[in-house]
Amino acid sequence: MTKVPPADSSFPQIEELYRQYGGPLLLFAVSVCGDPNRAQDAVHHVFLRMMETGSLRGVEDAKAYLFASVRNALANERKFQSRNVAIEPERIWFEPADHDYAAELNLRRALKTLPDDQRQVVVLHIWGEFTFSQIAEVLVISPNTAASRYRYAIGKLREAMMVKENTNG
Amino acid sequence: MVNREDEQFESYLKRFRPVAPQPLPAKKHLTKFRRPFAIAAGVAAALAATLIVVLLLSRSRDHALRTGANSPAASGAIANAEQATIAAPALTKLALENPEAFDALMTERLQRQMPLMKGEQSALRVLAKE
Repeated sequence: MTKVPPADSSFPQIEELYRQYGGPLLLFAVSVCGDPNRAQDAVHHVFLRMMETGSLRGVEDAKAYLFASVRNALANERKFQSRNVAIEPERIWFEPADHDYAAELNLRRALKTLPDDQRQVVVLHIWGEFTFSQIAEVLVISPNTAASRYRYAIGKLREAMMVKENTNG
Repeated sequence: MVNREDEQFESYLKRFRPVAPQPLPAKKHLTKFRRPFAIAAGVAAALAATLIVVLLLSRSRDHALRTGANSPAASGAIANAEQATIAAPALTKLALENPEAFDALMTERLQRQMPLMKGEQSALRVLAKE
């Protein structure tokens, strides 16, 4: 848990949070909305707002707060958006180990096959390093639901990736 | 329960690091916000300073005019002319109908803009005393 002292909101502190959680937050935002551009805007929006209002004061768990804020920002934005679905640009989501971009594409495609709620749980648990209790808090579900979604998701993900790898190989 | 296969698969997934977002545009944003504010504050300060100087000058000239050596005819003409607006049509009308009053008005306007050169409180006398 990243506890924030109730001091004046300082830019260095917020910038540190951005460095620390920027990547997982962006990935989470992409997993929610599917569009890297919108995801990027949502993450920036949350941090800029935090800098302007100093709203981190008194926040107990900064990491959970950030992920929940990004999710809320995307949900609010979706309310005002038209029903036109933007074409998703093919932008990478991960920096693959050993520059294995084929594996990155494989993982990205596999993640896209998951239902939204399962994908979000996987992203939060694997790359956000959240416990199921924390995931429950962010997504406003029970910890058991979070755990069960994760189990389903990880099975599907492994299957999808193995099928793709076998097909590619 | 998470089995061994799942753990291995999780480890494999964790090798992929999420792409970092673009740099936060906070500094640029805040600079954008602060720059117009600074300009507005500067302009306001300059306007306030100008207003204070003009008021001080106006008060000192009024005082000098009251104590200065102005002819009664010119004073009357100025008083009449001051009732007229300073707009160009009014000035033209005044110049055509009453050249003396127009002349007096112009002289008075000039005195307001230029340092007072005569009278007890003239700029020259004050400076000479110093």
